[in-house]
Amino acid sequence: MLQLDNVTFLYAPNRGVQEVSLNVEAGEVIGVVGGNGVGKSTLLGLIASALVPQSGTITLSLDGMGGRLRRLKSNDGIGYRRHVGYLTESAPAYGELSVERYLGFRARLHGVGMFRLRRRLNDALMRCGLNPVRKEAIAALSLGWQRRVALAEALISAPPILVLDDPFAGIDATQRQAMAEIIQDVASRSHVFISGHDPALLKACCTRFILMEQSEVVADNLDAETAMARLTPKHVKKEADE
Amino acid sequence: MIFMTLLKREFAQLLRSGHGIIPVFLSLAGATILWLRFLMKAEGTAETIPALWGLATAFGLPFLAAVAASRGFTQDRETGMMRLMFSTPVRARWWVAGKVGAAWSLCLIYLVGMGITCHLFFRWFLPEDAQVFVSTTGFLLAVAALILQALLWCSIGTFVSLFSRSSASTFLFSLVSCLFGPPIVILAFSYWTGGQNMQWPWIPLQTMVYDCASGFIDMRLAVGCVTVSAVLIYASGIVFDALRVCATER
Repeated sequence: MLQLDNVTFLYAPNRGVQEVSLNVEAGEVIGVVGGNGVGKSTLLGLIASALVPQSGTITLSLDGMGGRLRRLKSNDGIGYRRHVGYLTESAPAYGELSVERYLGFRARLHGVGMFRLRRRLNDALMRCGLNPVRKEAIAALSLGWQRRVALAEALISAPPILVLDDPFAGIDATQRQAMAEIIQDVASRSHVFISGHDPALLKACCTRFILMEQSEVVADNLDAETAMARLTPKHVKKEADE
Repeated sequence: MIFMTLLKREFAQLLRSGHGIIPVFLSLAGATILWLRFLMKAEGTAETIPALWGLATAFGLPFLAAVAASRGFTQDRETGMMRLMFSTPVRARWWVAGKVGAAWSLCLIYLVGMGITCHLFFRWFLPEDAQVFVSTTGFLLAVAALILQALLWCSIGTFVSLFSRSSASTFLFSLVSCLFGPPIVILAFSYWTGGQNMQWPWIPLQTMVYDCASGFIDMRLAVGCVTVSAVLIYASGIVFDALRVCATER
């Protein structure tokens, strides 16, 4: 289970994340929705341990040796980060490297040993449909393929926490659908967090929604319809009603 | 293991970028011209070949280290890689050591290049009646002093790259820090300890190389180089972690 307890991170008043508390079970796919600048990326950055909370704690509870519960806190550092796969908003990568080499490099940084590396690499490449481009330089790929590489990178260590910041941005409908299927495929074992602005795709992937406004989570445990209705701007809703 | 993975990656990327081989050639060209001028003017003096070579080589290092370091963390910040690095299970000091190590390796290539240049050219340009001798020990000591010096420049450059938002400003700040930082620190230290050498130490590290090659080894400067480099690498790790807290990775 992943537990966020009064997590706060503010860049400026009302910019960032304020007093967020959540409990997420493995297998849940959380859609983090809200307008631009409400703190979605900051919340995901905190869960991914790319940012350190100014107050509050993020705790991951895992089954340890002998059935004992192992608790890892996000500010503990490496121990927690080993369990996180993160696709950032800009999905950066070393463009001059081939897909295979880049993923191999990232896997080693995530502590994947030499013997498991080949299997994990092949698994990630196959899962994300990257086999046709595995030898190509990342910079030569289209944006959609680059996003897939970033997703494969997030998946390569088979992490219990998967954080995907706007994974569908800037890619075409076919690629989006393929990506949504990949996320659904891995969701059963992980705590997955997805942010985005495409209601249909989020609806297809997520089992639970949280709505953010002005740095705060204003609604939790929303179903897809309610979340989408709350997301739609009022003037659009009014026009649709008319 | 992690360090070697990072070092290989950073070094390969540095070589492929415009911050790699081209600056090495420019530094080699500049330092070779300087050394040949030293050689031709050394006629009738007691200067030794290793000392002149070391002195000329030392001038190229701050430039090369500043260029190599200007890629450092600045480029990761520019490409958005910094946030991904923060969430990767790698300690800050390994990221820093990888960057410093890659820049340092580039400096070592330059030193090897200067060694080859030395062997190729010095007999052609040396006046026949010049009273000079070539000492292998002198060369080795000069190289050792240069290696320590390169480590210091690379540590300074990497430290600067953590604060800067563009490669150009990192290069300029690194170069200025490399050229003026050590003299100021050494002058302040001399003043504080009430030392006898109170003249402005223009290029103390270059002088160290020169002295080493001539047979006089000032251990204080050598120890100072290593200590300051270690402190800078440690401080860079702390700054890297602090960036995660301040969220100024963009």
